[in-house]
Amino acid sequence: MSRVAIVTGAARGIGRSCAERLLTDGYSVVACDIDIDELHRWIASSPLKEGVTAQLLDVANIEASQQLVAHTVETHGKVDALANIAGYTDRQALVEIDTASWTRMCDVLVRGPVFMTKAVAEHLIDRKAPGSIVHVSSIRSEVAESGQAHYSSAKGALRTVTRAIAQELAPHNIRVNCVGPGLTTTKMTEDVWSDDTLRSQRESLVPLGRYADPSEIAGCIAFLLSDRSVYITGTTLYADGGYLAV
Amino acid sequence: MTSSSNPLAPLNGKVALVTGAASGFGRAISQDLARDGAKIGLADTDFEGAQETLQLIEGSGGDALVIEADVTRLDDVTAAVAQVSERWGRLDVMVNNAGITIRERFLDLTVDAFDAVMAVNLTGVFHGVRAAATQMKTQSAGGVIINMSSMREDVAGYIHTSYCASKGGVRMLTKAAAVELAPHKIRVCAIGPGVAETPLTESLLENPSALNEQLGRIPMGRLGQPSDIADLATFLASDDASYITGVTVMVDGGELTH
Repeated sequence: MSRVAIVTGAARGIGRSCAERLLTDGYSVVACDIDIDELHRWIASSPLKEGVTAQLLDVANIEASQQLVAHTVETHGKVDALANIAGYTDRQALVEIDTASWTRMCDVLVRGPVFMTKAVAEHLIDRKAPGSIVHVSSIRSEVAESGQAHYSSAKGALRTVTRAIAQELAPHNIRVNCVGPGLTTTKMTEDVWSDDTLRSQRESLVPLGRYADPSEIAGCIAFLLSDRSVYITGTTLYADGGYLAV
Repeated sequence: MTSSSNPLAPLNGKVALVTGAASGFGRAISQDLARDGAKIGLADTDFEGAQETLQLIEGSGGDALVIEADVTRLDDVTAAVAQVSERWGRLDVMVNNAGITIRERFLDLTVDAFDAVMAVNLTGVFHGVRAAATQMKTQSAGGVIINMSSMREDVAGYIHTSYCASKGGVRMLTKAAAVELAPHKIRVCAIGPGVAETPLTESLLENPSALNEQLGRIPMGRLGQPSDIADLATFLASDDASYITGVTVMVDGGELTH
């Protein structure tokens, strides 16, 4: 029986690339996104569509994410892996961030992944099965950028809560880690990398001198979800082209 | 079909050099690199141990050669890189793994003991990075350099002063080398094991009360195995890690979450 993975934010970018990689690796994938139309368009065009199920999900909706985990267990029999990838950002000066936009950021980037992890962990513990959970963090969990105070704060929270959850779940053989991408050519930052001047400015900050392709981040997520990383938990694997080294 | 000729093996056709290949992490890493298709130079001061590693690899159909080398001598490491790249035409993966430890309380620490640990664990890694980079920058495809650090690069351990100092040095050497070598398509990464079963931890393994105390600090409730470290090394050497450079990846059973 193939492994079952839930992937959030699967309609595009790192989430889609991760779903494709896990399908190639033989997983059954429950692909979730708030943009169900884009998700269906991708799946319809994918040669791997046999192994994937599309689900509408706003990860900020805790009740919906718990139902999704329960539904996956009903339809697929189990969940083995969870990739919390859904995320977004917008550019706002700190003094202009209102409570609604702060709360939405924390709900999507922290509260959602935490309670989705809890639902999956409860299932794994019931089943007495090992499992692996990966959150997508960011270099912004370590270094700040103007206009990203809410995003950085939420990613910082995710980084640290990952350690706390990993410590508690380790005795159950459930691993929890983050992958921390650097600059990556996803829709989220397309306004920057599609502009030649802005793109070369950003690339000059990266020792490898280029953006990551989403597939390069997906390879790291797949590694941490696999049995090749059975002694790795509570850490962040930065895939940033050396961004944090300088 | 042998592992070294399987076109689907992730490291098929790659050439690697591993220091400290006679035992522990180095032996496990060498075996896994060979399983994944790489040809390996096995460098160590312990010639007999390296010969045993060679037999294990050849027994599984892999291709390797033993090189007697002391990483504290730049000439030895440069010659090892030359031997491997002459034999197989290139060097794609350098694993600077050789390491030692001497357990002494700080107030009893001798200059000789400090120098001995730094010479292998930090200067030895510098020699490996320097020699490998000199070869790799002549190659259009660059290469990957993997340094053996430790969780001790971030958190101190009791009676471990010189070891901690050396690993803190490896942490920053990895970053500095990554930044300078990135334009040559050379990635430089480090591995940060927690407490693992190797010849370096024999005294711990023989002391049940100390071992239990240590296990209590590891959320996963077991020591690391050389295979855990080898799995990470082969990942970092592979194309899946193509955007990873200048970082230490911890493999510690969650110990650093405390």
